[in-house]
Amino acid sequence: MDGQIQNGKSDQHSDLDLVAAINSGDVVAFEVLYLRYRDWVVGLARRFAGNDDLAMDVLQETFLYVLKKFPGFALTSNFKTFLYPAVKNLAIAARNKARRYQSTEAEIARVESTPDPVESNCPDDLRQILKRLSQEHREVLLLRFVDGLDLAEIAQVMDIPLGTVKSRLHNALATLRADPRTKKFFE
Amino acid sequence: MNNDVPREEDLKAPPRLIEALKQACSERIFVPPTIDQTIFKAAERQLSPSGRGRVRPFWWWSALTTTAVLVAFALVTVQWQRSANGRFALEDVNRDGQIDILDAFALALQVKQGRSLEKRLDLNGDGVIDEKDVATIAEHAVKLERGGRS
Repeated sequence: MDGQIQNGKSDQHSDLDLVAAINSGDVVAFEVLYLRYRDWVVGLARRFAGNDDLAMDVLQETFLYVLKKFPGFALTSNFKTFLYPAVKNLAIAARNKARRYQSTEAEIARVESTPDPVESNCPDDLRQILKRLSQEHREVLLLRFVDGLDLAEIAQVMDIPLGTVKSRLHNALATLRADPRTKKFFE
Repeated sequence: MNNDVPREEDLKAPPRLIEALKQACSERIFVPPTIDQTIFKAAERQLSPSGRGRVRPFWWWSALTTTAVLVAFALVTVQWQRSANGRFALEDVNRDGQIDILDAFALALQVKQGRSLEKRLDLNGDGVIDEKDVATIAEHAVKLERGGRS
């Protein structure tokens, strides 16, 4: 790559190109990288944090964390696999903190009634089935088919063996295949 | 839970399911422009050479230290030049950079206490440091004060 990243040609550059440019102090390259992953990060953050406000906080904290890695950041894998643990941990922490700081019973009741993130975003059939899955099985399923990570990347971000990823994904799919409400997707 | 390693084909989902999952769980969330701007400003601060937080204190302290050293050097030089400035410096008993009646008082006190005094204070050159030397300083100080301070 020669010179600085141009905003209008952002799609031409790989994540590696952008990271190299950011390491050289290119602010536009950072903006391109941010806009490329912003919506994914905020969607993932809502999945774990439970609401949009917390997801916005997590979005900011995540990219401030990313910024601190520069200069000198080396991208050794898919950028999503780098972001995922940060987003997940920040989102869970934000959700726990929000619960801790509720002072009145009404507020506690409101937080406890906060819908499960999957529940709030999915249509009825799928919502009910996904709700039946354990958090671990649902996470693997969504990482694979919504976030587009491959099995090795899922093992990396969840810090579990590849065999466990396969087993969980297999079981999640089997649950969906067996349920009459989602059976139609397999026909 | 099934502990056998599943076959690859058992880990694939039909396109219709994938599409439904994506539609269901990838609902776009509006991010206010103020959040984008906050992050972009942080990026400018962190990435631009003049704005890097870790660099600024170094330059700041470096400039401050250099200034302090230069000021100290100038003060020492001026003081040294004053003290080395001919016979008036000999009469500056209390070494405050000025020759005035206070120098006469200072010498008078030292003579009265009978201390052994530096030879340089023998201002009239008679080989003895006494009231005459005090008078010499006082005389000189009065002359200077009439014509203006040294």
